[in-house]
Formats: sequence, C-alpha cells, structure tokens
Amino acid sequence: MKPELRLNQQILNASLPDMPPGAESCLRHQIHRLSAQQEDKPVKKKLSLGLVLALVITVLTLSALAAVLIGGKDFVEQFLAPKAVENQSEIWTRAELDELKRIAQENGLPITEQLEKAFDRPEGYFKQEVIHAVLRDALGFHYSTWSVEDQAWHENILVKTGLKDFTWATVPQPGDVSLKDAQEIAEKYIADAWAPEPDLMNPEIYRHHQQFQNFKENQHQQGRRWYLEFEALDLSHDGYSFTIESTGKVAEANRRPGMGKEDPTAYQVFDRYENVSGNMAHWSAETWLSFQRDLKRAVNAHGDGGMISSSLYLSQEYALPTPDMITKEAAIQLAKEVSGAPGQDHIDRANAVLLADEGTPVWKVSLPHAIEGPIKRVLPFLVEINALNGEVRNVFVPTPEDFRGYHPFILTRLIPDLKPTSTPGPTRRPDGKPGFWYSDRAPEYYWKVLDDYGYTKGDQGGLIESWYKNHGTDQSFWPLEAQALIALWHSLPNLEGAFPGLPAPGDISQDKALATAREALLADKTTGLNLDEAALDALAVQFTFSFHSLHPGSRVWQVAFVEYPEGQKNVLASVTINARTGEVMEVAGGEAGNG
Amino acid sequence: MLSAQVFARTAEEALNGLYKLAFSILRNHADAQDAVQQALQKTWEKRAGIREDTFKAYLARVVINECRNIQRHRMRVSPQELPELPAPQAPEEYLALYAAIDLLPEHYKLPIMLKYLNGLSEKEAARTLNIPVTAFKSRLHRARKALRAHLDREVVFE
Repeated sequence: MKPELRLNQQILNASLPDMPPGAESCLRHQIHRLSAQQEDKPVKKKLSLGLVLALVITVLTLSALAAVLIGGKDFVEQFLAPKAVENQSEIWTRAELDELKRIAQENGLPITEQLEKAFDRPEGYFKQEVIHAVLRDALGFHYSTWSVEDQAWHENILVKTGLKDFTWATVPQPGDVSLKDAQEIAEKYIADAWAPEPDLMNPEIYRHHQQFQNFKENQHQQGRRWYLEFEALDLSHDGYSFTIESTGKVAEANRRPGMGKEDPTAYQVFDRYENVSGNMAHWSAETWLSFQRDLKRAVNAHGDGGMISSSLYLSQEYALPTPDMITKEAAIQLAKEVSGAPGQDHIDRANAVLLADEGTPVWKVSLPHAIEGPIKRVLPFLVEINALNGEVRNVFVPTPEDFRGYHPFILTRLIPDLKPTSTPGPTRRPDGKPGFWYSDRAPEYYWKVLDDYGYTKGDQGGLIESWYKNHGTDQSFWPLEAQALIALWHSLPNLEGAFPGLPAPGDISQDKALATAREALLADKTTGLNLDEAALDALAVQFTFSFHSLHPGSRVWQVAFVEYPEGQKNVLASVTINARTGEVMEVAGGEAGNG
Repeated sequence: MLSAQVFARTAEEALNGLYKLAFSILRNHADAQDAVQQALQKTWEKRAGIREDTFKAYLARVVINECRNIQRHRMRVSPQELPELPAPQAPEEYLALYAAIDLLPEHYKLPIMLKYLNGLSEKEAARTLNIPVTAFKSRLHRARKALRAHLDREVVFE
C-alpha cells in the first residue's frame, strides 16, 4: 500500500510548474503600473440629486466641527468630504485638485511626495484615492494597520459621500472580544497548534493587521468577527492569519512557515524571499547575496527539488555596488541607447540587477516593451552592461514563440539552452489531423465516429460553440461524442490515464445502461436512498462513458441521477457499469458534500 | 469600488495561484501569462463595479474567461496544434500529483484548483465557474475520486 498523499495549498502549489521569474516580474510590474497609473479614465458613477442634497447636509454637519490645526482626518472631514458631494462624478478634475491642494497648503496640511502625486494627476484623480492618500500619510500606508475605529470612520465617510455602497467595517460592542483579547486568543492558538511565538507582539518583527466586521452574506452567514494578520517582517519567523468570531471562537487559522528553524526547501526559499523582499526586480544586492546563501543551503539539504532555476541562481555570482561602478540608473540609460531598444511606452518599468561574471560586475538591464498582435504581450529587452566601463556585453530579446530565455535576473550565457529541452512529438498528422488521432489508446471505431462527427473537418471553434449553445455549459449533459471531443481538446493530447470514450458496437447501449442503472438503484440497500420508480422518473439523467477508468482497456458507463432542489443541481445517485458485460460495478449516492 | 491599494494587494497575493490556474488550462507559459495579464487589465478597468470582498473570486473568473478566449483563438489560428506539456519544475515527490492533476478533465480540474490552490470557498468557486454550489461539490467529489484513482493511493485533502 502506498503511503497517503496530503493535498493542500502548499503541496498543490509546489506540484505545478512555477511561473517563470520573468513572467512574474512582468505581471507584478503590471499590477504596480495599473494601481499607480495616471492616465486611466474611470467610469463615472452618477448620484441622484436627492442623494447629493442629503449628503451635502450630512457632510456640512461634519464640517461644522472644524479644528484649528488641520490633520489628515480633519482635512478629509472638513474639506474633502464636503467637496466630494458637490457633484456626481467619482473623480476630481484637474481644476478641483488644484483648488484642494491650495486649501491643503493654506491649512497647513503637510504635502508629502505621495500626496503631491495625487494632487498633481494631469487628468484629475479618483476622489477616493485622494482621500486615501491623505489618510495614508496620517494613519499609515496599510489600511488594515489603522485602528478599527479609524477604519470604520473612514469607511463611513466613503459611504456618506457616495463613494462606496456599503461597509461591513465597524467597531466592537460591549460583549465582543476586544482586539487585545483577540490577539491573545491568536497567540494561544499559535502556541497550542504550532509552537509559542514570543515575538508575536513585537512590531519590529511582525506587522499587525486587524479588521473588525459586522458581516452578512445571507441569512445563514452573518455575524461579527475579527480578521487578524501577523505579517512576518523577516525571513525566519512564521506568518499567521486568523478569523475570530466576536465570541472569541477561532473560525479560521493559517500559518505561513518561516525559514529559520529547519533547513527550508528551494521552493520555500523562493517563496519566502519574494514574500518578505517583494519582487526580485526590487531586491538589493545584499538581498541577492543572502538569497543565494539560503538557496545553497536548501539545495545542499534537500536538492533542488526539480526547480531548474535553482541551479541557475546558484551558478552565478553577485556583486555589491562600489563607487567606481556606474549606477543602476546610468546602466538603464545606456541600455535604452542600444540599437533596437524599445521606446518610452513602458520605460518606467525598466529595472536592473547587479551580477558578476568571473569577477567582472555586470548590470543586467530589463526594458519591458509591448508587442502588438492579436494578444498584446509585454516582453523584456535584456541588455548586459559592464558595470565598470559601461560596455554593452550582449543583448537578448525573447520572442513570443520562445519564451524560455526570459530570465531577467540570470546572466544570459549561463542559461543552458534557449531552445526547447525536449523534442515534442508531431502535433499534426500528414492528413492535417491532430498528432494523437488514431492512437491505439482508443479503439478504431472511436476515431471513425469522431471523424464522422465533424471535429476534423475544419471548424472546431464553431462546433464547440454549437455544443454550448445547444446543450448548455454543463458538459455532463452533452452527447458522448461531444464530451469526448471537448476532453481531447482541453486536457488529453497524450491520451494517458482514463478519458471520455464511446461504446463499442457490441457494448450495452445507452438505453440498456439506463435500465440497468435503474434496476440497480431500485434494488440498492447500501446508499439509504430507497428510491422507487416514481422517484427515479422525477430525476434528470446524465450519461458519461470512459476508457481505462477501471483498468487499462476498460469501457465503462456511468449513469447519474440528478435533482434540482431550489434550482441547484445535485447528483443524487450514480451507477457505474461495465459496458462490455453490463455488470454493475458501483452504486453511489449522496455525493454532494462528501470528500 | 475597488481601491488601487486593495487591487494591488489582492492581485499580488493571488498572482501565483492565478498563473498556475491559467497554466493548468492552457499548458503553456506564454499563454498563461497573457491570460493573467489580460485579466488584470480588465479587472482594473472594471474596478468601479467590483466589491472588495468578492474581488479575489472575480479575478479568478476573469482569468478562466481569458483562458477560454485564448483557447478559442488557438482553435481559429491553428486548430490541430495542441501545446506541448512543459516540464514541471516541482519537487520529485509531487511529479505524480502534477501528472494526475494534468490528466483530469477540465471540469474536474478546475474545482480542485480553485478550492485547493486559489483558496476560494466552495461558494466563491461555484460562482467563479457559474455553477450551483451543489454541482460544485459534486464535481469536487468526483475530482477527488479521480485523483485517488490516478495516483493509486489515498489522498488526504486538507
């Protein structure tokens, strides 16, 4: 008996191919660019005139409480909130931002660099974002590190000004566990479930996030609860998050393991460094050195775990910046001047990492650029520059067709093979059909029926669309031929394991399978369903047919009986039948919720 | 409306899982990146109508939709060419799991991915797939059974 395999998020995550570092860098850049972009034109949201008048009155009342010395919260209450309800737009125009900036300066509100950026958006800016920018300066960058009183106040301002529809944010009432209580509950839970964490309340080790909500998803899911997160600020400590009901009951607890206590795996080193130090593009030279040291220890202890990139990161050297080297900015500028370098479109996303090649410090510069086509892609233009004399050592530009060379943080000469490492089998037969067509993993009749069905006659897209149109999105009600073809298309080019098949000419028919399944359920004593003829007649029936699911070469019918209580699909029972012999292999019932 | 801060934080946290979700459907790194890239762009453009508490599930749904678009595009352009299966960069003990998941038909694979990789609740995942919760549970049950059968060993789902 093989040992059991545990499947959870961490293991599933580790079992799937990693995102190439370049792709990750690119996507994280995109997130940052989007969330900071200026040129975005928001969809305007209209408020009713009556609501605007009501909001003006409400907010004017708030502004009557004007303070002498203006702070961030006061500025929001006295000026931004009243100004926000003056019109129905979700954004302030350039002129309105100028006016708000003047008012802020006149009232002595410190204008930080962040706030300056918000006020100086050339095409105007979201009202909500300007309010956030002011409050971030006053209360801290991370919203969830503010006190729950400030969070609730802020959320209610947004609701009152019409910038948010509703909020669950509130403050604990008498009888609810306090923040301190909730943190102690979490601390005790950690000690009981894992190990005591003496640094949990040390703000230099953990950033504390907290939210308190009065939530209602539906009649069955409502209540008051704390969200707590203990975000580890270094590599060695575990991170934790909790949902704690207002009664003090722990509804959910999660741990993100640190690396300090035992040797981590290579995967954990990558994961942890990216969690603590952010995207690789922003790592300092010291972080790279530390990362390499930890990665080496992990590989020595556990091997590279199949992470090919580990050996690449270990095989190169890293340099620390010295005064005689050209700066990162200068290296990026030199890269931009290389013939063929991309224009200015994404130039704000350029970055560089300092490496060393046999003792020579090298800046590897990545200049993202957009490639237009049916699907827009952003790929890097990679330039390596001698950090001592500014000489361009090489230029490499991955193409959409060969993505494998996309390693913005590895010396290009160390990347062993930019071509595919394995030779793919033929993807197409000489007759134009897929390479796997006529494979002996399925009988001859199968391919003939599917040929006749039209799949290889040129318009697969139209055919598949017609299945969705005619039979709906639930593929288990599609004709067997369509079930087989959609599976071939989506998941099974190698035809390994079990896959949807078709009955052979001598197999029991669909009608016979149905009759057999009904007989089996009527006689069944194991599921406890006790179905009679009338009950079976009231159920919908779906048929699936598979090859190789019982054993290699097997052909199996599965007949499922489905009900729709309150409009929702529920498979009440299913019967598995050997298609060759008609023998009932399994009668199963009450699947929903089982596991 | 979704703030830029929540957008950035949630998208960053979910990025790895979203990428792997896209990869499991498209089986190709470049296409998976495209799908996530398009999804991020579209959710940003539509953020005015997205609630913070549903954003994570919404993002997963858009990624799946983008995968469908790319699959359709593939069919139109080169209908007979299926992408090769890239080699996983996973620890050896997980290779069998990777192979087993890859063998699952998509309507079984996606429930496993959404629940166990992307960390969505059953309700969120059902919404993402546009199916009732009971149907989601049923598919998840079958997917677990199929995984156990493929792996020929007991699998404990945590």
